[in-house]
Amino acid sequence: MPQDACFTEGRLLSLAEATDAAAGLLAASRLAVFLIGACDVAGTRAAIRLATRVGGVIDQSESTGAFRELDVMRSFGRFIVTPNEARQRADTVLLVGSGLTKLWPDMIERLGLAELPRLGLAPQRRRILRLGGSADDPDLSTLAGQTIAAQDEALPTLIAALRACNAHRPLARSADGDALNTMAEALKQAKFGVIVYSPASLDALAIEMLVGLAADLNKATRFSTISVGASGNAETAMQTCAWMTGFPVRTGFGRLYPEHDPWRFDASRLIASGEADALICISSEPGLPVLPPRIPVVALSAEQSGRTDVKVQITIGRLGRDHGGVDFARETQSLVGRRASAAAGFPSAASVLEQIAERISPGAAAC
Amino acid sequence: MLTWLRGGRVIDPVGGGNRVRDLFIEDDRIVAEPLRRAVDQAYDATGKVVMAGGIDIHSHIAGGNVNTARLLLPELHPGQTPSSSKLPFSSARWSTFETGCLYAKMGFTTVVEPAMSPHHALHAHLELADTPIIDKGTLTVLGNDDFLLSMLRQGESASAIADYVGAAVAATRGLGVKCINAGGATAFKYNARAFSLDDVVPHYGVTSRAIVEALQQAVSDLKIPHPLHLHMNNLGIAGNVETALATIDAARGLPLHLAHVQFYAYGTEGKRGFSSAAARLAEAVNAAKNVTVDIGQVMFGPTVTVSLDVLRQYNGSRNARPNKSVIFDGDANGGGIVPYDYRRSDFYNAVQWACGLELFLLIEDSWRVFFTTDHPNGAPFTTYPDLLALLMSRDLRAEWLAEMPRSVAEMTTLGAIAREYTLDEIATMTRAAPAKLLGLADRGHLGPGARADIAVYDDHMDRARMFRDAHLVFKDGDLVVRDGGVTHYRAGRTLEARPLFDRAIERRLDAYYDEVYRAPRDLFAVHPDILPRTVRFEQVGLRQ
Repeated sequence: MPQDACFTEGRLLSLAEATDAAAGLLAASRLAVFLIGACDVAGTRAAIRLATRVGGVIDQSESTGAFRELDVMRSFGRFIVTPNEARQRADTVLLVGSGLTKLWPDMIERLGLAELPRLGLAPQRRRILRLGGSADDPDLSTLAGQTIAAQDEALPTLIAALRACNAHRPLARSADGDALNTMAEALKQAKFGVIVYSPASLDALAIEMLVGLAADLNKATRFSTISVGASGNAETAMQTCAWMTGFPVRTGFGRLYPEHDPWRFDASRLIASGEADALICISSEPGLPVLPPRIPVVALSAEQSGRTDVKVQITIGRLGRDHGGVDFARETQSLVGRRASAAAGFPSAASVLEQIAERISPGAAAC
Repeated sequence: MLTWLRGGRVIDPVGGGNRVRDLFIEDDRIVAEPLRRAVDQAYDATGKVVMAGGIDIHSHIAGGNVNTARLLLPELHPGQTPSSSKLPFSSARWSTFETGCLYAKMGFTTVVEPAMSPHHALHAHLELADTPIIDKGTLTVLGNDDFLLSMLRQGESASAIADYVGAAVAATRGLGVKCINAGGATAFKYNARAFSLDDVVPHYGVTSRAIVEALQQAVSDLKIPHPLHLHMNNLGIAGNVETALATIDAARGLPLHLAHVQFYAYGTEGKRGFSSAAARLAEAVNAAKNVTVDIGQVMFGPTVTVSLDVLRQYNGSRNARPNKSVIFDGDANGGGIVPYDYRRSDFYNAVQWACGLELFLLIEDSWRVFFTTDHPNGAPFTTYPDLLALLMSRDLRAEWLAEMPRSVAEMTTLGAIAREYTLDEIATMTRAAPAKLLGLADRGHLGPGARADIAVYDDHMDRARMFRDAHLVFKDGDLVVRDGGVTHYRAGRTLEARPLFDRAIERRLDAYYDEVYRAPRDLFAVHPDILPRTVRFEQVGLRQ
């Protein structure tokens, strides 16, 4: 391991000293929050195990956006298609909201928006429709056929109106009425349509309305949706936490069994309210979540943060470079394997967290 | 370490019959009674019933769709029981850890996850790695994949198809091959709303029957012990017994396993057009010695249906209880997650319940009928003790039936069936037969050389109580359950078939993935070095 990997308050430490310091800080805490950023499955597993051992809370740095989606799913349901299937089949793609290519720079290529669908029954160009987001994404503007320009604030009303048009419900007179009817008709003509949306542009009710539109369209043809939301990081944590505890992140272990409460176990709220008295941030990519520096922080990160609130800094390796592992890939909508490419000697998040756990309760080996 | 299990009623249909005798365990194996050796530990099994560890051949315990179900239904599994520090997450409801513990408590020591999509294989194996105590296996799902359907469209040879199937099983580390509504998920992407055995998959021009035959042949050619595990077309539809009968014919006398056949035992009689046709189906199974079946019994209560039969799941989503579902158009099969609440007072649900029991009781050969609820689709596996009690008592079945709508009894033959399963038949169905079906020579029996997976039960008259909490359970000779409580975790093995195939197919597959998925094929492969250190694979011998 490189010599300059661990610090406490500006002082160089060995890895053993650093994990000792982290363990001491955790052991003395009443409520420790584990905030995961970019982290592979192994690191997430280790963090969840450590959180149970100290009665802590597990959250993910992008979970606010992820919960907007999850809340729709667990109250209403979802239609989901993989980007691969969308690229190969979709003859119609409805793009909703702004910043799509900013959130997902490879989106046009991964969804093959400029290509013919490989598995379509009749070779034809995809029909690209846009609702909102017209001011940005010039590449999308070139590809799109019909566009209904709108600011994000107007999208919930427009989506509701589009769903009403699709259901042949009367629409209040509006400037977009004809355009919406035209768009609804185009959606009905689809053989396999995909709605691609930016959750950052939409509130939960608007997302639910889009899923409802997909549900309505599926009564006669095939439709599904792709959310261009958070990176795969949130999903890695959500999935791992779900199989280990039964619940997604924002789960606490203070009562020695997992309790899930998206409000109560929101890391930002716990820190702001003073309920949390220790924070472990884990990110194997550069950058740590920005949080108010109120409590001691143990940072396991791929770069030194330089932040004054970081009591213990341990530099960890990067997945796919320093170590192999598994994380969630947006491109495939699945957990995928990564091999180490050029190990620089930094330890993985999992190994550091396991060492901290061993110092807190020796011998409590993982099963 | 030599362990003496003294004086139990040992039920071992393979070699030992049913008699009171001692068993000896040397480390992880059962051994013959050693001469002039001091035992290291002894357990008194007097008055107890001793069987090999149970084997579940079809239980959806891991994978992306199961995890989506967890996320969809947080209200289904709140828990308020603290876990001990020695058994972290063991009380976390519906977690992988709880799954391993609950199976062990019932005396089950090997469980097969039967629906592993190749592109989600890593996910399934990661969940299985966090499922303690029990050994696991997975079935690799094929039959809606573009590569296979394209091979069939192009008329490629059986050996080429076998190479592809072999490569898929090897990359995913499967124990066997499952096919789910062959071609149906793909047809659904072309907007088919029903798909039968002789329907043609759009774009590819191949029938469901042709896909099944090709996979059946490939599994046989690859010498994978477990025959093709088939989820047939038209699941859950009135009158679908005709599909099941046609599929048995389509097997052409070759080995075929039909999954959760209760869901295919429906006729169209009665004023509601829904009746039990279980007797007809059982008669056909009795006659077709090449066919094995598991039941997929319905038991009452809230659950969730999790299936890669996305066409069926979409059609079923209109009856979701509660009214929410996830329909996933994935690479190949995808999946559908639809919550459901089977109600005793619901005519259709009660007929389903009766259909399953009729099949259990009317299929004569307990070596060819397997004990499943298609967890969680028919019911959670935790209902197994109650189901065993029903199979063993005609009076108990009559009590249950009396609480159901009267019309249910008219639409089934259940009330007239006198058969009661014996403990020997239970041991065959849940131990010996599954081991034989999966090719696990050292499991399912208690002869010398067998793996020391042993369940010891109190011989209660209340059979549900007997099977709910085993008195003792040994896994690999290690005592893991005492009086219904798990004593400690240990890591189970993952069983895999590892068939032989011409690896030239892999270069072709690599090129296909680069072009079609725009990703290296290796991204999806299950390599042990990226799994937790505790994962141990065990190769199952191929058929000779």
